[in-house]
Amino acid sequence: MPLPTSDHTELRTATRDVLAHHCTPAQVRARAESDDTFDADLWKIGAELGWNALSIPEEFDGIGLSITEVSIVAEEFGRAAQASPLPTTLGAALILDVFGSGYLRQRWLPLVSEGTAVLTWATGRGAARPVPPLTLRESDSGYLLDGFTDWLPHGTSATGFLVVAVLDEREVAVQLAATDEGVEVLPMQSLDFGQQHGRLQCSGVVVPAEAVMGTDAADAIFDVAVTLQCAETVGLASALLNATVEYTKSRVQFGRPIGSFQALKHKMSDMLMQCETARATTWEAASALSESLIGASEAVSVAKSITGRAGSSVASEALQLHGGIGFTWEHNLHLSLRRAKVNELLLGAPVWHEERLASVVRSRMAASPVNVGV
Amino acid sequence: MRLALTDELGEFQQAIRTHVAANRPDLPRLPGTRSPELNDLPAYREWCASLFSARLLGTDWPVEWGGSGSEDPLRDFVLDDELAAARVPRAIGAWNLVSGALFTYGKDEQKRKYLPRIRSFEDIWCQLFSEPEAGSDLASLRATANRNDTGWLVNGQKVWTTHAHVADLGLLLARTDAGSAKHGGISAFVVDMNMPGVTVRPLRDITGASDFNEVFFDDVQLPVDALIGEPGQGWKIATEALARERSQSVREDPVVAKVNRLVEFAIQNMDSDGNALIQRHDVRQQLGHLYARAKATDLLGFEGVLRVAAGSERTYDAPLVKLMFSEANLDAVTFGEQLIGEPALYHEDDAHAPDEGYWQKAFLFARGYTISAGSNEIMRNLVAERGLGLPR
Repeated sequence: MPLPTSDHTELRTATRDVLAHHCTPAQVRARAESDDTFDADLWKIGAELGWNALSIPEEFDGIGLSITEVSIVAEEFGRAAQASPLPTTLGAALILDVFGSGYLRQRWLPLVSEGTAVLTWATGRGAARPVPPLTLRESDSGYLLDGFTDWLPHGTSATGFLVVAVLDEREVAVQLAATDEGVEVLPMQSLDFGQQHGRLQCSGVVVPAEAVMGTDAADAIFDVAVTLQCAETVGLASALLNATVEYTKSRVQFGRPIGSFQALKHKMSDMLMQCETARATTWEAASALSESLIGASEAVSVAKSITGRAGSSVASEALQLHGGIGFTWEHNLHLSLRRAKVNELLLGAPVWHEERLASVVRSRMAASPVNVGV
Repeated sequence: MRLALTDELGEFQQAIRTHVAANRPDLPRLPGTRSPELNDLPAYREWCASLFSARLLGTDWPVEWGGSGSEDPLRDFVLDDELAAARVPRAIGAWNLVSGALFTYGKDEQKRKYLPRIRSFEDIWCQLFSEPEAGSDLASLRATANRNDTGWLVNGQKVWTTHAHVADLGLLLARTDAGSAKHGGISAFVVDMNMPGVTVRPLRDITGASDFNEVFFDDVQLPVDALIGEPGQGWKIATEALARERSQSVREDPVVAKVNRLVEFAIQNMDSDGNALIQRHDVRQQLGHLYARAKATDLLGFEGVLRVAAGSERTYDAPLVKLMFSEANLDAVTFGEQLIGEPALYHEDDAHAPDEGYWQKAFLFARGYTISAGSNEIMRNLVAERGLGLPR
């Protein structure tokens, strides 16, 4: 996993600067408490800056960058505590580019690049309880899609959906449009009120064969979704830590900044360790996916195990170290706490990914018993 | 996992495997920083020398001193992983700290004298830093080195000196200027451990091993050229050495290898209901989490090495890696004992002891890592102060 390049740093700085301007804490708060959590103005600004073209291939007027760059954008949005469908849009576009038919690529990639398409996804994996999947069955006109699925990020703002469904007992990926007959999206209310999730209901949706992709695509959607979720968490955890450090440096009690007390210093040191391991493992997952969308599952689950836990742990400690103020509605801290918790539990909680890792290690051991010992 | 190897590193990895296959020593791989047994020393020296002469170790040394001229800092990383996986010994001792100190601060005569003997492993080195009254607060050390006609006269006592009982030479920190400010009066020296006045007394640790020692200096006469660098440069030499030691710790005893070993155990053993341990959700989840933490540790260590190579290292990198490694290690062995259950309590020599008592030893040794090379409490202070700018 190479260190970030100067191009990466430039992208990060540019994104951060725009968000600092347009997503101040007061603006983030106002947006979160409004009825519409999708910031159309910010979306337009981003499109004009070329953000929506980041992961689109050059053949469709895009910049042709990879998951690594999308993860940088996701992280910066996380840092600003601004929910946005930009990362899911860019991630979904990349998957359509790699796995999609000519039909899908022609239909969607230009729309993403110009900023008119808002994409989201449903991975069909990682649930803690049994959930019936979307089902695809053959018909005269191709396929029919039925079922419902929850937790589509920004589902009510999306114009397109990349969803995993089951066809004859195997998982496939399907691209839908919000305008397709039989598609309905209902708003969901969650712990994270700053981000509108959607419930997708499909009733006999006609899906042409060209809109269906194989199991590799289904796997990739999950791995990309988890990685971008982790990237967002890395950003928000980092911001929480910075805020906590600044607070404890300025808050004076017993004649000294409370950040000079060793117990607090040690807590913040542990928070930094959480942030650093989350950052490193997420970067590794993004790097792996940038090389190939197939075969990154181990790196992705390592990232989610560490980052899912880190986000919630850092948020929780940040609140503790802010004392009473951190517990008020008016302080923005709980906005990030809520998002960190949602990111911990959606797309497979850390324990789900940890079981997946145990399987991966076990399989590798069965394949080559030599060279695994201490 | 990726930790992507370039073609060059892939070839290097293969060269290590070939060398191990052809030269596997009849020596156990001991956990952590355990010293070889005395009668194993000749074979051990030969093994370590073979790693140097095959240009697998010390590859980053300048070519004129035996290095391969490779700038790739990841070679040591790959080597440590391979040696751990192959269950063959790594080269113990302070040689890596000493070579670094000599390259930066040593005179040519010192380099000519000591560097080849590091490569041939004719000299095993120990690190003479900590004292009974100067552990976490190392800068308050009291050992003195007073200038006289012949050179330097050393008096004092060191403690926690790993490998002193097998070492030929030591890297000593002593106070040369009692009048100067705490850090400024410290200098670094080479000490011949067999000199008159040097007494090594083994300390027994809770594992029963005696790899730590007390070392007493009673009017030990060092020659003039025993000084490394200038008088007063000792603190700088020490902090660089300590940073190197901390980033090394993660590679001495890779946690990933331990977790893999636990997975093996879980596959091969059952719980009291007759279910294979690896089928149980709680076991799989715990192992998966430990695996993730072990991988995260390796990644941070790996990144740290890349940053040093790129000249962008952060002053809190080494303490952070040390913290991550030592605590992931502690949790891995703690879980290991629980997974194995009461059979883990059999004495290592008992026929029933699983894995020849490996886990019992590893469990007892684990707190050695959270204390040595700077306690984790000190590491947290350093991370908070250097990484977050929190006030002292």
